[in-house]
Amino acid sequence: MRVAVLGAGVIGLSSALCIHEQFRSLVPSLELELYADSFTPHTTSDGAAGLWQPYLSDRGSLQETLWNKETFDYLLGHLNSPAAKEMGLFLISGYNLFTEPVPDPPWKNIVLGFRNLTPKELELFPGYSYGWFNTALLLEGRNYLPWLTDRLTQRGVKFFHKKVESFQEVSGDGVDVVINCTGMRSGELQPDPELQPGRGQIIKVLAPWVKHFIITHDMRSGIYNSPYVIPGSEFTVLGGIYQHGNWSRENSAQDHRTIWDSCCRLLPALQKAKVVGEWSGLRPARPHVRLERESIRHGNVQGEVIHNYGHGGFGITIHWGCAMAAARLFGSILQEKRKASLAQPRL
Amino acid sequence: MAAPKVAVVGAGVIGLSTALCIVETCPSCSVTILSDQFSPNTTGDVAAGMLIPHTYPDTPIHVQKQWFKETFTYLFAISNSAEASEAGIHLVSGWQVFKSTPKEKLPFWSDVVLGFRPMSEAELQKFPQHQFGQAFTTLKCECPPYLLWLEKRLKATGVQMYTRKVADLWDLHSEYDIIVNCAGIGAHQLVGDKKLFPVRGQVLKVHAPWVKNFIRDGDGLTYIYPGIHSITLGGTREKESWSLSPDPGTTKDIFDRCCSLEPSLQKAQDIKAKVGLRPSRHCVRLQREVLSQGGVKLPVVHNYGHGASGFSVHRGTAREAARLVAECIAALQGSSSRAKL
Repeated sequence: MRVAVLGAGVIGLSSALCIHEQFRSLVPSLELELYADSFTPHTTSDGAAGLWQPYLSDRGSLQETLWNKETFDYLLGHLNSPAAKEMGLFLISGYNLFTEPVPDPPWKNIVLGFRNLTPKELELFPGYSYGWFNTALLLEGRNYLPWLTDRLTQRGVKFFHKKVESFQEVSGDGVDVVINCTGMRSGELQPDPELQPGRGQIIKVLAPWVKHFIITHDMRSGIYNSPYVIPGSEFTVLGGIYQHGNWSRENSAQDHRTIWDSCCRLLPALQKAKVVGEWSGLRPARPHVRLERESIRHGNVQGEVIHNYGHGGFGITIHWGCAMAAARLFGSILQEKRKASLAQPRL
Repeated sequence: MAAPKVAVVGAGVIGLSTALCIVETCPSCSVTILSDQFSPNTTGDVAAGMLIPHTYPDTPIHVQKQWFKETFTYLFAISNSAEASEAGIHLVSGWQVFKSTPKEKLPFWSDVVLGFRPMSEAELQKFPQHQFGQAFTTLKCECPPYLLWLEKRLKATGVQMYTRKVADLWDLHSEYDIIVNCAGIGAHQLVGDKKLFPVRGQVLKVHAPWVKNFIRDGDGLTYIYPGIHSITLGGTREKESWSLSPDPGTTKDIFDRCCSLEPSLQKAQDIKAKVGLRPSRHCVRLQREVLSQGGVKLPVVHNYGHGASGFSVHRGTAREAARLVAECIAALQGSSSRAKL
């Protein structure tokens, strides 16, 4: 049984690993191949700071909240393991800041130690009158993706540096199931008007005295369009740009100024931080994650596709829950194929 | 009298901060710092510089709390300013965990630090050997940056600093009007204070920049304090030990204890062992004394014996010492005007 995973960001690699872990022993003939034109460190996941934090509202989807929780619990379970550092996984505490009181988020009981900010803490952040403190996880793409790649390589998964132009290209080639984890460019394989870029830009600085994440929120300008500061293991990410519909991956000087000025207002000590890089990327935004099966016909070939894309700015936050859901869909495909082959009379 | 000449003996965190407070409260004073050691070779340079006070048995709690509060407020303002990184002051959050639930669940400083509360069950799961814990956010003074920043501010006000081993306070009486004794553990020899004793602390400074939270065992012996350039792992409390050489067996023991609290530390790099002697006393010696020899009087203000709480209370005790210096000046001016009659 040949399975092709398209895409080598956090979604593609984790889906591949989850499926291989769950089914390789049950299906000895399982051959997993991974196709992508971008690999770490050039994927969208590599640019993200890697903070586990969903959006403030569940967008009407309890399913997504459950996937977020599954991811958090999975990562928390790995925290004390020897692999944690290599995975780029560690605990981090920090602040969410608002200019007015807001309802508690759906994830308040998923993270650790969630509470409101005290008046004294709010003195640190003039202009913000309300906020939360909690401990969450950071999972750095630039470490996690190579770690996933190593796990897959050890398991014998084959990697192909190739841009797949259509599902039929792989199904027609004898691949039984395609896992579509092509993120922002899924629309090139199958048009999807609901998938739009949410362009972000970040500045990487050296500010090792910053030990907390700080995410500000402007309820009028929307998610990620307000300054944020996220310290990683080697550098700190400054951000606060979300431009819906903007496909440009060029760094914008104006966005740089917006990020720099607003972050320095938030944390005056950042004025002394050394800039070590800049990056822009496209969050694959969609009203809901597309995680579903589809049968694609091409001539007399029927291929199964499992779509797993459209994770917006919370790919790392939700990835493992989605990988497991994709694995469940794969399981049901296997079940159907088993039944179908049992139904065939042996002549 | 013309500009009173004040000598501060000692250039650790206590000496430097006391000198700064004297300059702030008595602009007409001429302040000179004399010390045989400067940063990075002071006791404070070894410490993590965390603002988590210990309790002095013989100082009233409300006094200790006042010192801590003044220090916290002062550093909080710096941490929030553009100077924070140069001064080495930053906020850090974390947990104090206990193997068995302590009698005192609310230490005297719990309402001075930020967001103090008991840990939730979910948070405690990360520490399977511990039953109870407290979460809070406090400040850290990274050394050498903080001491170098104090030195820079002092020099900007015209304070002179000299490397000089002062063997006897009387050696200074002809050059200075008032002596401020911030000699830390050196006071044992300098003024023969037998109530002052070292509590040896060995620590490890390691590179593990993914550790963002502090973890401290409530017994005070095992702790992980993330700083700007390194993580401080501790530690030991060896009463009456004067040895400044790191012990390899102790290094391994500290490392093992810290790894059991935070397993990812197994991957820490650049492990360096350091030793400091906490200048311990049942209470901080913060008082005036007038030394007298052959009809000559020498006013002294003592400010030493801060033990394990030097960083936590340094600014509060420095301000108190500066007030005592002002009293000495007033006394000198009073007696000099009497002498004119």
